[in-house]
Amino acid sequence: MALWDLANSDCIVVMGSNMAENHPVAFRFVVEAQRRGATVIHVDPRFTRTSALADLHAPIRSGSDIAFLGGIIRHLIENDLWFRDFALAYTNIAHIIEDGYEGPEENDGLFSGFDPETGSYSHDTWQYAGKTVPSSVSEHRVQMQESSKDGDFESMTEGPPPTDPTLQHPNCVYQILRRHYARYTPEMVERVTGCPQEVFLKVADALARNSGRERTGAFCYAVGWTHHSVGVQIIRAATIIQGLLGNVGRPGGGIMALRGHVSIQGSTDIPTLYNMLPTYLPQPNVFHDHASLADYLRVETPPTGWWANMPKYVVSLLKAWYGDAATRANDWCYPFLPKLTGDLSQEPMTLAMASGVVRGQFILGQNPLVGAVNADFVERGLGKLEWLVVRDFAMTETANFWQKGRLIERGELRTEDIDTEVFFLPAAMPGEKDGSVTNTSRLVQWHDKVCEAPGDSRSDLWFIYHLGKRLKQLYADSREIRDGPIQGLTWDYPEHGAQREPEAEAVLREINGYRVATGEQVPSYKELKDDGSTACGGWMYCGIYPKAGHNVARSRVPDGPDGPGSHLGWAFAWPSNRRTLYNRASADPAGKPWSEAKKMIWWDEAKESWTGLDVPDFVETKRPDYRPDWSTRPHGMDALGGDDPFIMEADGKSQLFVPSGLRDGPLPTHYEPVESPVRNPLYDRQITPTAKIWEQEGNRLNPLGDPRFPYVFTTYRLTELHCGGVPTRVMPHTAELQPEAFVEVSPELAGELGIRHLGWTVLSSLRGEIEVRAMVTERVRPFRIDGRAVHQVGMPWVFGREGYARGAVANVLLAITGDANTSIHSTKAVTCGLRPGRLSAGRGQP
Amino acid sequence: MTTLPHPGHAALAALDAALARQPRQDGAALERATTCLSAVRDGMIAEMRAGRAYGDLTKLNAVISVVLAGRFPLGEIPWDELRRARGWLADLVERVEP
Repeated sequence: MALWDLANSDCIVVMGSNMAENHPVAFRFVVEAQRRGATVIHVDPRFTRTSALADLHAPIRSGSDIAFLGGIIRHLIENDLWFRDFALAYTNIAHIIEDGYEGPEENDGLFSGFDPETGSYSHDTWQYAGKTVPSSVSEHRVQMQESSKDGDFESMTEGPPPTDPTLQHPNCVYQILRRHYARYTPEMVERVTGCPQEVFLKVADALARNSGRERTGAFCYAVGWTHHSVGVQIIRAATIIQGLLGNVGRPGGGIMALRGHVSIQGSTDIPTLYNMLPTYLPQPNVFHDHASLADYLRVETPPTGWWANMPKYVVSLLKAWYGDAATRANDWCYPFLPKLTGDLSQEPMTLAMASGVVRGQFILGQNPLVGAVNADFVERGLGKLEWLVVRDFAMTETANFWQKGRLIERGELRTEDIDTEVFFLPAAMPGEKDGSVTNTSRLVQWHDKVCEAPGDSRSDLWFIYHLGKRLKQLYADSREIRDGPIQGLTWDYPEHGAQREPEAEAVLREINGYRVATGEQVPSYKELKDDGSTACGGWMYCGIYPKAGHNVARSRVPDGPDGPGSHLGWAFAWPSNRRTLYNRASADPAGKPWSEAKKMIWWDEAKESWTGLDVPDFVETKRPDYRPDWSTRPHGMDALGGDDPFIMEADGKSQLFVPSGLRDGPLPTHYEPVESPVRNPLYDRQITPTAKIWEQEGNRLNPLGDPRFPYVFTTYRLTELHCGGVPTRVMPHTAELQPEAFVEVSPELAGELGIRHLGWTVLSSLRGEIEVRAMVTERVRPFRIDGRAVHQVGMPWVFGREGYARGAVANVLLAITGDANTSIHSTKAVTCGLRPGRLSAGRGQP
Repeated sequence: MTTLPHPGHAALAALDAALARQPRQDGAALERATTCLSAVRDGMIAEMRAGRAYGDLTKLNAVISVVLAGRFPLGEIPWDELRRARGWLADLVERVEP
């Protein structure tokens, strides 16, 4: 959904985010919704400025989100508060799952298919009966074996999955949901989360009351949901709620992923991630059947739904990257693509760095000695590199670790023992370069350079481009096959000015795509081909530069006060400048808006096309009453009916239950965080069995029940200090607003431990100890969990040793662990020790 | 740079320990193998920079890739490939640490 569409919501639940402080621009639309009468709810461990502006604050213990959301799911189902017409038509609630399926209630806290020897799941029993369902192509897909070893995706072309619209079949998704969440009662929610059940019920009822034909609700989240061992499943729980309530693809309905960093959305679209090619195409994997392009496309392309177009996007990408070198005869240079061997995300690579595998590292737009977990471990790893390149516009803790690192200060490392050669290169700031940011709502906004960067400062684009040119020169005469990808790469952007700055818009034009024969821009991804006649650097961005001289991301034409409010003239939202994904769901199965108040797109019988206030996310001419002719074994969009809005799924239905694609289960289940002072009240299984745990020297987990670490510890940002902190810690006017690190401690815990407001404290974990002053405040409160008091403390992670505002690095306390699906670390719920005092007499050791 | 006595043999021993525990992952053994293999590679690179031919760096890098795939797997641990990598490593160690 678009940010401004939040203003159309009747109920907004902010959870996993301190939105008012960390996303203040987005929060204006929450305030606008509230002004129009919407109920605003903040579910969060702390009482923040978001809570203060909300109508209701529901406190929960960090890491208990699924218990809370699961409780809402149960409440909606058991009290028949769900939007039946929507969910029956558009979700898989009536689908029948394989006979062998068992959930955690029947299987000792595990789903069926778990192999204790390997610690992983087989998906066989999670499938629709008689089918093998391909997961939607996504970043998680390459982590699965399903694409190369499991069943027959062509089964999806034989007929629709079996369903029971009466919802009586014991293995239909509805009945499975009922069994799965039966024990997530309000009493259990209170027992697990600490949220009083009457407050929980207010939240559940507000959501239900504000959903249906006439009303819609939205969730807003940030890394307070993602940075957990079950981060993906927390978001999944919200999708189940929204699917049940009909809050998807409709005005004011949705799940808003708040993007905190500049262009963080863009860095997943045109990815800086290891496991995706641009715009969510899977990176080939050496252990899958990906040896040739034909193999890769055969096993990775879902036969039904929109993703059946994947070959067009892959071949067009290869043409964009390798130009004339890419021919049909050489598989369009597919062999040049690196093949994945394992998990190469940040956490494993940090561990590999400590093992000496990684010999050099570029750090651009990152400050891992502050922003990465287990900062001491990272620092030791940096000391094992041969070389380190850091580009930033002010000195960072990472760049000077060899001189002023925490371990240097503590005497655990000596500068003279560090061989790492560090190159610190000055970087241009946003106003000193052309480019785009892609942010919340998939909105791509162009910005122009307003002044030259001083001295030797250069844009990241300049750096990467000229580095690439030098590499091409170095390898120009090589006869090694392995150097082919560098030799074949098209790398010929126009250069301007004395600095030979590459033209950023030329990169955007290439991302948009063009016809190979003429160089003419391709106006839409629907015109991309798999025959080498089109080149496109990122199919979802196609249309951002649809013709020469027309950069849609530069557009700044808002709608007027009379609407329609979709603001299609403001910048570009991928794909197709569409603002709301799956907006076919804004109309009923017959193609009529669910209500006049909540209309978005609808079927125009006279014009025989979909029309409305947004760009339709559907085949424009597909009638609502279209039904696949299964006798022809239909593929692609022909296999989806005119009332199947979720076109990226293999059968066009929203997946309340996920048959394929998740490593940790088809339904969200409450497990405790990887570190918790509480035994799981719901299952004997303490943590998710598929969490990525890499315990080794320097990266040990605090054991359950260890009296040294009895408190829940969470981290967060501050309005005044941005991200890793350096950009704002070096600015006097922002630094003085948050001059020093602090830990927030409840008055109850402070009294228990003898901690004074602004007095020194020591926080500890098995990874390290830090000292920081206490902020004794009622913003954090003790929770009553399973009959006993559990204290939680919290600390901003944005401080470090550089700049004017200094203080302890909170991430020293955290461990390197990973969510099973994304490998994302846990920063929101771990355990710690706390005592008054200092680490040692004298100076602090941040 | 990591310096270990006989890192190649130590890497082989660690790999053998990991292979003996399959299908369970032995993270500690694979971590040890990674560290030792890095030390072998450091030595190999130093020799090459000194102008002396010293084993097959490409093959060693392949071994390291497979061991990392076992330590940080996507999906199943590639046991067959790990066994094959162990064979390559044994050949290599025979030459560089006779």
